Amino acid sequence: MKRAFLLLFLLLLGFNPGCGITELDKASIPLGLGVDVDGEQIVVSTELASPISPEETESTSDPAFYVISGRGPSVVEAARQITLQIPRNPLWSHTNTMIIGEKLARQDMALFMDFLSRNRHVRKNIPVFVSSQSTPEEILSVKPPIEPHPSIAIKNILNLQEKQVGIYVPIDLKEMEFRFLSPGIEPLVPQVSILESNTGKRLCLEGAAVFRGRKMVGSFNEMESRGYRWMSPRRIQGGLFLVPSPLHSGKLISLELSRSLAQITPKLQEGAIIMRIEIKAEGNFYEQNEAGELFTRERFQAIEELANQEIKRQILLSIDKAQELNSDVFGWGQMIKQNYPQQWGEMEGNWEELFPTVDKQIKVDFSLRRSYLADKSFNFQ
Amino acid sequence: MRFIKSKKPEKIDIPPGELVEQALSPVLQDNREKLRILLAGCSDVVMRDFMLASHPPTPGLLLYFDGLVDKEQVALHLLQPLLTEQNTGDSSGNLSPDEMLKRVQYRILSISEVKTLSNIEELLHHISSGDTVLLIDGCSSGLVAGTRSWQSRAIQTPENEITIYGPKEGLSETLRFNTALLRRRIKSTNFKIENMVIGKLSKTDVALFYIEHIAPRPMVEELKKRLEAIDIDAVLDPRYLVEFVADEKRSIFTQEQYTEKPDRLCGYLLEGRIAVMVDGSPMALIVPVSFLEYLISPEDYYINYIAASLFRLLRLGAFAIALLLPSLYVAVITYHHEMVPTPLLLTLAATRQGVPFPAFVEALLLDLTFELLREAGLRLPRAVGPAVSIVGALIIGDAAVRAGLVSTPMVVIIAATGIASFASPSYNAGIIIRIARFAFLIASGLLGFLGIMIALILLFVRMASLSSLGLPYLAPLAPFNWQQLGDIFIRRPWFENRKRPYLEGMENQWRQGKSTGG
Repeated sequence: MKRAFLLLFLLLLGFNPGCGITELDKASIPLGLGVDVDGEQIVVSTELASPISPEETESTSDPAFYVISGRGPSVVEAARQITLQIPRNPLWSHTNTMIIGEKLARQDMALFMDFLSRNRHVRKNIPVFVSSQSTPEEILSVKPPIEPHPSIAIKNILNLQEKQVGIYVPIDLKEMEFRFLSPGIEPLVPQVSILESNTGKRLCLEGAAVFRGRKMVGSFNEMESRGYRWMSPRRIQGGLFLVPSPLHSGKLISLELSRSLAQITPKLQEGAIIMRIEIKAEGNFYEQNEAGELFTRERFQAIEELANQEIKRQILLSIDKAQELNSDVFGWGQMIKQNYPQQWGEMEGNWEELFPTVDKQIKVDFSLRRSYLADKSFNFQ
Repeated sequence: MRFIKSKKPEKIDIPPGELVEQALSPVLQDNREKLRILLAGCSDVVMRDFMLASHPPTPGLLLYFDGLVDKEQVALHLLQPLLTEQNTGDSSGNLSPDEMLKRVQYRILSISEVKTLSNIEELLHHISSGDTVLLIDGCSSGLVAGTRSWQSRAIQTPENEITIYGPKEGLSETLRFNTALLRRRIKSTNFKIENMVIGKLSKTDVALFYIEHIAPRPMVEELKKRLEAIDIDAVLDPRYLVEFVADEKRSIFTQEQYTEKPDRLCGYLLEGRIAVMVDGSPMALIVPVSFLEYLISPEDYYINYIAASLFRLLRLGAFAIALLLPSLYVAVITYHHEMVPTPLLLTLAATRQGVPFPAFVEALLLDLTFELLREAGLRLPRAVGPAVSIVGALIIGDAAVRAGLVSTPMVVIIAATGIASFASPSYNAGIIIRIARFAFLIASGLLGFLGIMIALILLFVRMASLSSLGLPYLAPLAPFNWQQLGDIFIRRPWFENRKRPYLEGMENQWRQGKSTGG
């Protein structure tokens, strides 16, 4: 028995499975990965982080990261070109951010998606971005403030704005793959651009790329992205939005969203498709930039009503744009498939023609809950 | 007129081996001659000839080993009465030898333990145990007086089992003191102390302690049988015995517990375990024990049970750390980099910069150095101890890192492992873990997590196949017993601790209620 175990152990040694030894001093750590096209060639760029020594706090000699690109007729070939330029084995599992070049996105995602879905090194839960008016290589080369690594910076910005501003909905590789693979739902990917200022370059989130089929067909702007966020299928938390003040025309008040849940149900009525969108949201009063008492019963209701209208406006903007681009980023096709599986069988073939004709009924119920430290408006005497 | 008639001693040419087996002769001179041959070269033997104060005076012989007896007692309560006590009353001179012996035993000697003996082997055993033997001419048997007394270590606090609360007494080298320490704690007559003698040369007294009806009868019998089968020249420590007695003899997994604390020993006895003590060693051997019981410190039962439970969980964690931490670290940084958070990986990569050895070799070197320091530290004379520990700490902690031989995180890992390995309340378990740690390190160096998993499986398979005097080694985890687990990983409060841990064949399982008396 003991001998059998020993034999098994030795056999396993012989067939050392998959994971080869990589000593850390012979490895490099890529934090970001970018893919783009340049003419016929595919360009793969990566941000390789320099090891951070715990002892020297301010080392000015070494840059925090190196951006290295390789080009070739296929993604794998381009990635190989990177290997030719770096002396260490890249550990792709530490990639934090994936950036798809706008050019590639607009040309054909098929150049890349097969490789991505097969790749076992890059994690599927990292956020994806589409570059806006720049290449991934340029984006990965921008040194962000405070955080030494652009890939991590852009990921953190995305997560932070989701909680505090509430514009763009993060999407990871897994979700993007699923949306490309499934009928009746298309990916919506946040876009990152470079902000030129007199203090230097900054990374900034700007818009969201709308895909249809194999390629990107357009972008949502900020308001449209907000509209999309209201309709996301899971509970959303956090975010700020502006509504007109009920007291002073032309002035705005800020409301903070504490939570919101959308319930979207498709209805088939005499051949027409109607999406019933019901939003139940709660929020807090955040600021007004004018004096005057807002916290009375009537004005409270007025604020809630104005908020309802604002939310509805944003949703409408988003739907209009999506229908104009004819891209079902909301996944309505999927919803119909779940609710009316038989009818969906007929619709699936010509969903592209049906989607722009889908009608919508929007009902928003926003309730104001708190006003933080002051329960009266700021009153100058 | 026996005195006058007494013959010249015959020339004895029987080999000593057969001499020992002979019975005592009624002729004192014969006995004297035989003993002279047998005790030749034993310079510590004292043979005191005297005349018994009878009519007529009868020659007698007192025999003892110097240093093992209380000389004052011998002088006052043996020699003095024998020399001075007159035959009062009845018709003097007409006593038969046997009557004379009875008279001496019952009326003259003022010593509490006195009995008769009739052969030479018995006589030798008694004198070498510290008794004094009295031979009287004409009697074919002698008298033994219990006069044992020798210099020994006082009762001290055990240095290696330190507790903050609870009794502080420790067992000592003299078996009789130890039985007293235990008898004082368990006053029931069900508490049995069985004696046997093991060792052809050493003739060591070995005592078996158990509580009747609580310790399973078949287990006691089996242990006795195994002990009786031992054929060895000498026994100096219970460790000599355990290697004969253990269920699985060829294994690093020790299947017994050692203690120097009588309170801890009693705790085990009350759970139906059997203790073996050897005269001359303060260590008590306890069988059977399961591996998980190595987690238990006697102090657990002397402090608040919630705190004790948390400490036990902490110790369980320390077990895991001491066993697995270096191998997990090596596996993670050579095979499974994706398990490390990115910022930590960047730092680790920087610290490993320029280290010449693979992480596995680095861990092995550092761990071996640590073991070396520990082993050296055990035997260091007091005066050089601090010097060596400073050098050791400097070499490992600082200089090696500066020289680029090892990386800083590895030093942290090995240090944490070392500290965790000292958290084990049982030295036995500590040894098992220290050895197993190297096996795990090698497995992880070869196969990463897969290697660790294989090693863990092999470890558990091996442990599950062991037993200690019939008690499964992983009990109560395997075979699983929920009720008993309640007092393994956590400490059950006394008011709920109504049952003893189950042992096959235990008659009385109840600590409280029912038939507690046992």
